[in-house]
Amino acid sequence: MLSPRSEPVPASAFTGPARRLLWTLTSRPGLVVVSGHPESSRLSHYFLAAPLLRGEAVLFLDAANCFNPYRLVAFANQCRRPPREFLERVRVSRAFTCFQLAELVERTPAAARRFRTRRIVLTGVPDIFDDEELAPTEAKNVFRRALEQLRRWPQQKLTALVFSDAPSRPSPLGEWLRRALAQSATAVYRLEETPTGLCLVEKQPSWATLRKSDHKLLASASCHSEPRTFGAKNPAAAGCFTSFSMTSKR
Amino acid sequence: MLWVIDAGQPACPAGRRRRRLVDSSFVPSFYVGGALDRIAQLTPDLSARFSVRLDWVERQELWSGDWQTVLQVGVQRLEQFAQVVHWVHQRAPRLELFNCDISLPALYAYEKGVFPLARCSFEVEGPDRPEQPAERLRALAVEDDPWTTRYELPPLTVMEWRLEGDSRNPHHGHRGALEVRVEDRVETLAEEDPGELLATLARRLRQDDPDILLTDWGDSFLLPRLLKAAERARLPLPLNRDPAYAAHHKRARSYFSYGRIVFKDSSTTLFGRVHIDRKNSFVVGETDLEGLFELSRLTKLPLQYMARTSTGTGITSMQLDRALQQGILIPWQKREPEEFKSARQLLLSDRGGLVFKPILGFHENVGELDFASMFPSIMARFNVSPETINCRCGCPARVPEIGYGICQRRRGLVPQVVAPVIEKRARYKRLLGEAADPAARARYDDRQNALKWLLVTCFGYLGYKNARFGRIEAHEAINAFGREKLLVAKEVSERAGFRLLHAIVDSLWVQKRDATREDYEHLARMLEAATDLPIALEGVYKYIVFLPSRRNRSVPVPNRYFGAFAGSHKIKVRGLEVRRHDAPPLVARMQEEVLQLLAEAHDAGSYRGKLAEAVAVLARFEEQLREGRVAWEDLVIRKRLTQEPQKYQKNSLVAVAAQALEACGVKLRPGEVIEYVITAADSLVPAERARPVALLNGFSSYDREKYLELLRKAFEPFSLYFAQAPTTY
Repeated sequence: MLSPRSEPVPASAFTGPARRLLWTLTSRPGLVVVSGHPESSRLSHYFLAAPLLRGEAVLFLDAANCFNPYRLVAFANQCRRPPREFLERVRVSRAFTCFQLAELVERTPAAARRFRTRRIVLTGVPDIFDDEELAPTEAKNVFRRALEQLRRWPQQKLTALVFSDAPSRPSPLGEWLRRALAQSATAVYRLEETPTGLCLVEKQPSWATLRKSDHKLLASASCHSEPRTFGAKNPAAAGCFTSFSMTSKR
Repeated sequence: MLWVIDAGQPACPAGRRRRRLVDSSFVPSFYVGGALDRIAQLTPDLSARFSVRLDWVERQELWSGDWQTVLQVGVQRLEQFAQVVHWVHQRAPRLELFNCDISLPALYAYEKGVFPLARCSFEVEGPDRPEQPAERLRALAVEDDPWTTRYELPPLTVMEWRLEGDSRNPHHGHRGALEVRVEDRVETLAEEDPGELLATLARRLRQDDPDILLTDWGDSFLLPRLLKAAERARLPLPLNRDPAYAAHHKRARSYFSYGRIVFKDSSTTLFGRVHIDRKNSFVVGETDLEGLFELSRLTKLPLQYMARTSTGTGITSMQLDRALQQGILIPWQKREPEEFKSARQLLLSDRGGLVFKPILGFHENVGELDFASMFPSIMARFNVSPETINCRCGCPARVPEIGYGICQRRRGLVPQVVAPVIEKRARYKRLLGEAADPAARARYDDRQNALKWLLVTCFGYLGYKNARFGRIEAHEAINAFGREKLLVAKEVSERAGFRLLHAIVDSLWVQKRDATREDYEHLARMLEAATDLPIALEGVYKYIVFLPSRRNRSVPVPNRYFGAFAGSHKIKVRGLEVRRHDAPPLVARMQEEVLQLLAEAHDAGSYRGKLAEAVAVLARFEEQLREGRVAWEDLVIRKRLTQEPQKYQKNSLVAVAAQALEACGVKLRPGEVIEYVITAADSLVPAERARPVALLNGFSSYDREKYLELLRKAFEPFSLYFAQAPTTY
């Protein structure tokens, strides 16, 4: 098992405050929401880096059907680690309906105990609940049930990073779901595309009751490749990992 | 309510009686599962509020196969069914509901064992006049079997409505007089006086009293417009047999399916009479009315519904029926998630079928061997079903590569449904081979084709998010079996001295010098024994040409070839314009003519000789184009809109044509197909590049150079390997 201090990330990959932010987001119990970018869910792969390098296992609850194991393989190669090591440490379950996701959320604490991990990544939340084939009241009911479970996770010492894609078509239900999720979160970050790369901005909107986190970081993640290339289901696309660097903005 | 054709009593307008029967014995039920004390708390309120019959019963849970005690709620008043379900769900959201969202007509059919177009005997009582409230059904006995291949259909009267001329989309501008046909009698009704038109239609409907109204564009255009005109003119238009109801209209919508946008047109359905729109029915488009009747009988779905839904819904209906017969509880919401697996396991399991890219070029004496209904056969043979994969009883790993277990103790629901469909299709294929009468051959072919579509979708549905009995692990298991079987087939073929030229999921093309048809048939039997799956020799090709990618001639691509079968002039083509829906008919016709010529060749030498004649065919088509002798109908290109016309960023031909239509007031939605002709592809003025068919006039001209280019490109595959010496084995 790797200890945080001995993680072999090349010095150029992450810089001070940003590294601390990634570290913090993935290491302390909480329910952190990352949203605002149309491809937030796909970008979630970058957040696997820190726990994997710490030698931890991660549960990946994929409601956006975006998990790409080839990225882990490329990442492992860049870190000169056997790909199998990273591949075995990430446990994935895909949910294709909101009912499946709600069930999965309910089963996750037991799965976390079974796989001896406390790190959980969720994608496509709450997007999967905004389903045109489902009555909004039903979607809200199922979401409330899932949220009830999610809120308990920090007390069970679980760290959950929830990735929510910016909607292509805003809907009242989608707005309601996002608001409800933010209100239950311990922190909400907006993933923004800037001319220099991607930027994580902590959101403190008036409608969300957010806990003040002790790190007041505005971090930007510069990426030499175009963000669109992140989405390519291609091992080569994982090359972005090497150029993923973060700098602080104050 | 049932509508029946009384075959026993000669009377009424068309010599047979149509009777409306009401079966008040039908009490649809749903089930409530969960903590028994919590369910018990519900019952007093439930009984007080609604007219329900409550019983504690034992039913089987789908995933575990365990029998459990649940509350059966029989709803006495049909119109309250959804309301009662909603009430229970609201009062006790933690309790599980089962069998609560099955459509009531289908549920009636499952419970009574009856199906559309079945021959039945009835005992009835009550009024005996169609204009009076319906007769009451006292008893019903089905004297028919949905699994028989030799059934007699009821004597149906079919009335056809279509606009005169080509059946082009009237929403995009096509207009014509209304043609009404019953058997061989055709009447053309001019639209000048709507009152007269409506009166004539009403008279014809009363006079002929059709059972089926078969239309082109009836769903979204003809029927809604006629009904609106009747309303405006305050004239009756008895589209429905049942005067108590108005025609039912459902709105159009666009949605994403398998990565592409699909447009589902609106629908207009009738009561007491069946309306089928040929232009809005996949099943009728693919398999004609015979295929629709076959599917409706097997799936127990009403004809109008089956005509407009997918075959996936059909197979689901059969699964629901089977589950109901076996006392299996049908979950309301699909909740069972994928089991956690490592990213490494996902890498192994989340894969499709196996493909060996083709060896490019001209090959002689090639055999094609196809697994018959490979994926459904795997389900049936290896018991692959959502509830049998990684079953809770812990049966050993049986799925190759990915090591999933398959239950050995109980037969899965999906295999139970699929196996008889495979068997019935095989029977139809045998009958097709034996039948000499062209009408009988067409009938059997339509029916076997309809069953093919049921089987095709039953695999895809296992991985479909909304499929009732879908589960991704079952989908992955089938793919794993498929890959394994194809690999075994390749190895066995190579050990027997055959050379593998190409293989794609469930078909393989092999070659051996001087091998006879018997040798290939022997190989098929060897493969069948080795894989434990049915495999058939599709045919032996005199020659086959595997073609490269259009963009790069050194890159092989699967499923792009043409070949001529030995012993006949039959040809098989994949991936060429002649098979594509968007190719102009002129180009497709040129390829057809050329292929007919080339089918006469038997080896590389004779092929080269025929190619000279084929070049002359191309020259003839080119000449027609240059001289402007081609009708615009032969130049039409059909394309699907991937977005709303105004959202196209580039002035592509399809964007230009769509925007021109929209400028004329035509509302277009993503997924709709539009038709256009290229007028000046390189024009600096985008609007001049293409013109939608509806806006063509006598002054429109086509882009000769562009169409010449399309013709030449379409000819390239035939001459590709003959600029130099052909590659032969």
